[in-house]
Amino acid sequence: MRQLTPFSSINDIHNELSRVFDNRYGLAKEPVAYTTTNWTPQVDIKEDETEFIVLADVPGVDPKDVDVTLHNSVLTIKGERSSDTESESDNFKRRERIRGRFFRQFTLPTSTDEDAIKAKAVNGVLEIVIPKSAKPTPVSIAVEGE
Amino acid sequence: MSTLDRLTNNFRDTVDYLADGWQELWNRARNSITHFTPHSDSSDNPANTNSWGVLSSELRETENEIEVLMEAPGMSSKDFDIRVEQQLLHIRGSKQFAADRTEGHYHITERAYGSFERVIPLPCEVDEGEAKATYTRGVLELVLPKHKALQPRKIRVG
Repeated sequence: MRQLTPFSSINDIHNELSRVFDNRYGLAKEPVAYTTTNWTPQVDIKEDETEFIVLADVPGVDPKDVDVTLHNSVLTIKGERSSDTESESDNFKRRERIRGRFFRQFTLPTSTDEDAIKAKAVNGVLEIVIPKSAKPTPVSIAVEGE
Repeated sequence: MSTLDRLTNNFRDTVDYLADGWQELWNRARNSITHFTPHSDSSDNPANTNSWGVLSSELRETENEIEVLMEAPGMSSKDFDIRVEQQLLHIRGSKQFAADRTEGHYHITERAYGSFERVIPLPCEVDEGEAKATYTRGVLELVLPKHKALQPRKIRVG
């Protein structure tokens, strides 16, 4: 029997399109390790004067299984929706939920305070708040003559 | 086999594969894709939010119960309106922008906001008066006991 993976194909297309369109905003996503993810959470990314707020839909995911990192302006959200042991039984009449790993990456502007990032999960929504850092004062560099 | 034949076969396989995949996806997901109607009073809605959301659900049948799980992140338990009519489970809900979220501008908006309704056919009649609903981690869980007449009855020998 052939293994059909239409969801991951759709995810690929989604990721691909997102990448194309998000470039408009200067928020290019990093290439995603397609083959290792099972699903992609939907996100909103908002910017106001003091911070970036990222909201990601991760219903049914244990907050312990979510890993958020911000390194060199690259925000990575990854984790896993584990299947409860019960659901292994086959008396499903309908099954649309996808289990397994998810992964998303975004590049944020450099002016964020990486140490002050905060993340919490409420009602299946992961909320990540990344404060902007104080604008670095421009340093003028003297050009030495020959 | 000529190169052309091989190419034709490969092409046909690819098309078949895509068609199968699409069919599979369609069968699995067509019901979970749900339209969200934006709230009329949300003129302050800062983004052109997505009006289609995926509310993936699951239905499991045991001897005495029907169990339904539906992913609906970002709601609160009072935002749901659930009823059963003629073996159809209607789940209505409304998801709003948090009031303090209207300032600033959005770079990406993929999450859907607004009112939605999802109808899930049930495999048998249930006793809706005895139904229980919980909402945890963005997943709505309903336990609907089957109608008494459909539950297996134990007969005690007197």
